Amino acid sequence: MDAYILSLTIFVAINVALALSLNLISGFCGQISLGHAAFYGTGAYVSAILSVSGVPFAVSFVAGGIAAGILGFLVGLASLRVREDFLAITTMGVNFLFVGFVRKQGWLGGEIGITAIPKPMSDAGMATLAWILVAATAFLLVAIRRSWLGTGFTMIAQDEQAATSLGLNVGRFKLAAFVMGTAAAGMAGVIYAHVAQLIVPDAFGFVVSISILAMVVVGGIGSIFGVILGAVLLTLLPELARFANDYKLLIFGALMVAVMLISPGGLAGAFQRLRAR
Amino acid sequence: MFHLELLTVGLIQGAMYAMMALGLTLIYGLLRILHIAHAALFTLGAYAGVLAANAGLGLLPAAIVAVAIGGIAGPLVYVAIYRPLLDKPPYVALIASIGLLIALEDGFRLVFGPYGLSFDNNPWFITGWMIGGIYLNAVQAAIAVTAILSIAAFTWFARRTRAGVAWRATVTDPAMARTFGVEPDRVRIMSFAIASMLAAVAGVLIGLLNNLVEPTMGSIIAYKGLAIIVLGGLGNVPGTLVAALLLGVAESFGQTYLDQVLDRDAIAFLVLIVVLMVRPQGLFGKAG
Amino acid sequence: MDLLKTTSLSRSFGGVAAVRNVTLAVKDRELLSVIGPNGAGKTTLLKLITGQIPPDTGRIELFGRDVTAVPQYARAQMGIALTHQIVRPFRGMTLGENVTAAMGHGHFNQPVASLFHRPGAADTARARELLDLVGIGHAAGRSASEVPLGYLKRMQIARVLATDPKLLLLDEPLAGLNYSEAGQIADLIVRLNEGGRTVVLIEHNLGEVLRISHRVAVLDNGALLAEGLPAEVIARPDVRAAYLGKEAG
Repeated sequence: MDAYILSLTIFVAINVALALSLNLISGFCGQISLGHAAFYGTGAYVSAILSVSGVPFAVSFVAGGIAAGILGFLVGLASLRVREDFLAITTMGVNFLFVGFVRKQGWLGGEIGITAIPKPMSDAGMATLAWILVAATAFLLVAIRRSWLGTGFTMIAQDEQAATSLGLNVGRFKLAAFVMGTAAAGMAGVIYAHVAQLIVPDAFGFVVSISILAMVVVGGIGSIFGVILGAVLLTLLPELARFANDYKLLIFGALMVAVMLISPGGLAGAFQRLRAR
Repeated sequence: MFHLELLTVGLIQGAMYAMMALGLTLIYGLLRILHIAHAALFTLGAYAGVLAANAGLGLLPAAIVAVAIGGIAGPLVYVAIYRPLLDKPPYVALIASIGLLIALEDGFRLVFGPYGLSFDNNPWFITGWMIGGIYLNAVQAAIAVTAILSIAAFTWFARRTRAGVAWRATVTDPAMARTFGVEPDRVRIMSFAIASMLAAVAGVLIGLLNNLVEPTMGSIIAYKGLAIIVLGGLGNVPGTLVAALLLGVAESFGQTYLDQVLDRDAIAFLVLIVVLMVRPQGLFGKAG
Repeated sequence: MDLLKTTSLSRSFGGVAAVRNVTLAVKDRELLSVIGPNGAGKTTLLKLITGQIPPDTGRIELFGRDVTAVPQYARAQMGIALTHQIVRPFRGMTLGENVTAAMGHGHFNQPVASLFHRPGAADTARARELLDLVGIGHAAGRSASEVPLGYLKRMQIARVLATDPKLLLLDEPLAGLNYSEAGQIADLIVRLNEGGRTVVLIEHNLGEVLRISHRVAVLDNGALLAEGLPAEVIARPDVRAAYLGKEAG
């Protein structure tokens, strides 16, 4: 396979994994997060530091996921204190804080970031790993949707107080959503760091969080198939049409506005309405 | 003396935040919308100002042009984007607002170029005075004066005019306001006009202060603005003003003493998160 | 045995006492109604009992255990259930799904374990039975965001029954229902009570309250004014003054 196509498939996979993991937190459990890139970045930075200092990739991979999950647990704790608008702003703040902190840390490479991250396997191997992560995340989401865990998430998303009064341990369920979603984002970050072999703070900034959110809402927040479609489309669009690359943010932004105005359920919602007709 | 200077610079920065955050909190109080796209109106105002000034108008007429454009564009955003979304869950308007901001910022970049525009002639930038051992240039002075005047004008408007009373009634109870002949939609349009005019003035002033107007000059301020209104206790006008000044000062000291650990722009969010964990309703919000 | 006991329970909001010094016991299998004029503190009392808000002072015991510091969800898991005065359906679900969701109550404390269990046909069937019991089985497939209020009131009862509670707290379950619907729901409450569930009922429909209650407690201005047999309580002059006086004014 062409090297360009191969690296493209890896980035598509990374974005699909990111979008699915955000969908778990924001779509399934209803906790709007505007800072998903902070967890993606945590996985990338932790694994990069470890790999550069000679730790085997398998260990870096797991450590990146765990580190992101721990940060996710802490932000999840915040979601027990603050709700809705306040939570959205808090998660946005976490993202700015992450970038603002990393940028000033000499041991994390500061503005220049971490370079010469060793590549653990061929591009084909990395692509396979990335798609395994996608498959595992998608499988987890399908399993959640069918289980009582998914029922609990839906209850929280639709009416937290009603869920509590029926005996749902809302706090633990929210934490579960945050930990699982952020750990998966961390693993996507590990793959990104080891494919790009170079990471800088801005690769995990607020704009990245918004791009991930755009994939989720364009695909259809809460829908598994829709979100996969949204992530694939929005990743490929700027690549397929050269002109679109220049207008990437314009297109992402306009799509977010248009989808909210026309079909807040995204592509999945639109399909559903067509089928219902 | 050094600390006094940090305090002054911080207060001026805070005054600028206050002008932005006042609009954000007005709109939140009225519609429960986190109006992130407010920053696009700030940037729009700055571009209008720099283009008008460079076309040969004086700085003051250019600022008036910018304010007029802001006053028209803000209500348009409400009518085109927010009004159709009022009955949807809150995240819908939030996402639309974020989308609008990044689309407009990219639009500014495409139309006006990525490197930004400077004022051909910026006399305020080079005029300055030593006051009590602290150097202030005319733009900084103008920011302080404009902020005080516009906040005073707003307070007068809200307390002493018919339109202001209608606005406050609509915030408290839209249905009740309607029975007294106040049309909530007109109040909302008016609020967007006022908020956006404030943002446009702030944009022109920041353009003058940095002598640069660039596409993304609004984003950091937009996000900080949200942190400020949350700190101030969403929808609480006096709380928002105090939070804005506090943040300006915290940043000016933080930039000096925390520079090794944390980026200046992250300070707002550090303060935000710490405060919210201790007081989830914000510094000046009511509990429950 | 007292199933529920509050001791000197008080709670105020911004300096205004909503519930003051309320000591009240509910016996196993009792059907107790709490009545009183609007603003007497009835809903606040229920919120204190369920744990939605903490008391300023006082103690709450459930099933003989002090639960004053136990969070709301955990009290619900102990077997108390609340139907909300202002209906709180899961609006994105059908009525049937609302009730089925509550069938998962055995899994609501352990998110990780709950991933390995899923709602099955038995849960859906039981949910349908419960909706039949409250008289809206035919509407199981309708969305909770488009049915009339009466349906949501009934669905809420079915939904809490899915958690198999020992103590039912019903906050104005008859409000907004017409005469015959109210009678049906009141009869259902009696049947549930006779089936072994203890009931605390807050209700303005005095006719039904007097017809079905074992005992009545009257709240006025947040304080317990009287309690006893329905006919005796309602005959007391102070109750008539407090209750009817305010209703008229």
